[in-house]
Amino acid sequence: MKSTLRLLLAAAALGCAAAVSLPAAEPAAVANSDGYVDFGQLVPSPEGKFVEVNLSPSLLKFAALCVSKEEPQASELIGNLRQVRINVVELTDANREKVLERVRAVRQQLADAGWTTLVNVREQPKGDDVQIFARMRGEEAIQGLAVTVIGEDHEVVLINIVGEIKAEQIATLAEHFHIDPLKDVHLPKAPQPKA
Amino acid sequence: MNAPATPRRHSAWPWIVGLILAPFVILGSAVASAFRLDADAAALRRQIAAAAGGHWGTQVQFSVPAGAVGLARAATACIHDLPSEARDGLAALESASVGVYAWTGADAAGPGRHTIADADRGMARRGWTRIVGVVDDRNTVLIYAPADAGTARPDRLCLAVCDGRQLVVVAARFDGRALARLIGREIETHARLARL
Repeated sequence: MKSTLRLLLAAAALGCAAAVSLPAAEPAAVANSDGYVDFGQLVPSPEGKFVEVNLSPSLLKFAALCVSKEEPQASELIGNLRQVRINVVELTDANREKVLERVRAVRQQLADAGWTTLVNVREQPKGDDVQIFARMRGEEAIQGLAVTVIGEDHEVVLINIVGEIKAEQIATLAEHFHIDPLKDVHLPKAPQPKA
Repeated sequence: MNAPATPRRHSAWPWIVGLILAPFVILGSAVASAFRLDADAAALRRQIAAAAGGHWGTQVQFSVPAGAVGLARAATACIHDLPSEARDGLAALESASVGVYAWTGADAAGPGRHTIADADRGMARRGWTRIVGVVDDRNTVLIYAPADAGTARPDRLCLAVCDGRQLVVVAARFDGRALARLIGREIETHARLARL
């Protein structure tokens, strides 16, 4: 998971490295989007790692512009995103209980709100506990993705990607943001209406 | 009876002295501003230094205004064997301000998580929003971008990196399109190398 995180942050840093030409975030508009997830207040540990990345539409459009020549498909995908938020919190005795409680609450909130569970993996006896949710629009389009990971290396990772994502773009998204659990995801087919 | 008032003679000396001194005053203020930190970067430094406590001594502090960058750009236009990355980098940069500060006490606690919120509040008052925040052991990285939606240009960035003993603060202004071209080209080069 650490390498995933590193690469994820590298991708994010691409956008951040250059605060850019287009208008900055529209926090209220994004927060009202169907694909937006409120992770609430995550309690950082006094001595543990804490990472927060918040890429606004302007930064994402800039990142899309940067890769437009080399990777036009990725550019189209990134350009359609409205927000990418990444939170990483290291768990210690000081914050473990509160952070895990928060993650469980977020998962429950997503399930209750009708988000589709794309991935639900819990490696036994020890290992990463991964749940990925998607806010679907019809059968083929996604309005938002939420990745929740309780890592075996005592880290919690929460990612929210807001924006229009087509089913066939999930693999591209997984590859470019280095979200390994997303790489083999296939959207569940909607039940066929009875004749 | 009053004597007729003699017309007042205007001396040219104040003008001559003024004209002689003006270049020095302008040069002096330019030199002074070159060693001052950009106002936003200075505000970020103050927030972090206050949160970390103790005294932070200035090691290096300078600003490169747009005019100086323009001069450098013009000068490098004559250098034919300058790497294209350097030329493009210079084309993308509009101005920059950098400060490096060292903790002079026995031990610095470092900014820590609780101070990010303080820095965020302070920067938000100046129209900045944090896009990246990393706190790892003693290291802290904060990157801010303008929060004002609708202003397409100029493009700015303000960042602070602190390892508990040393603090680096940078504020820079970019030409977004030129920078996108530069990054795009670097991505292309790396991808080509990776394919070999």
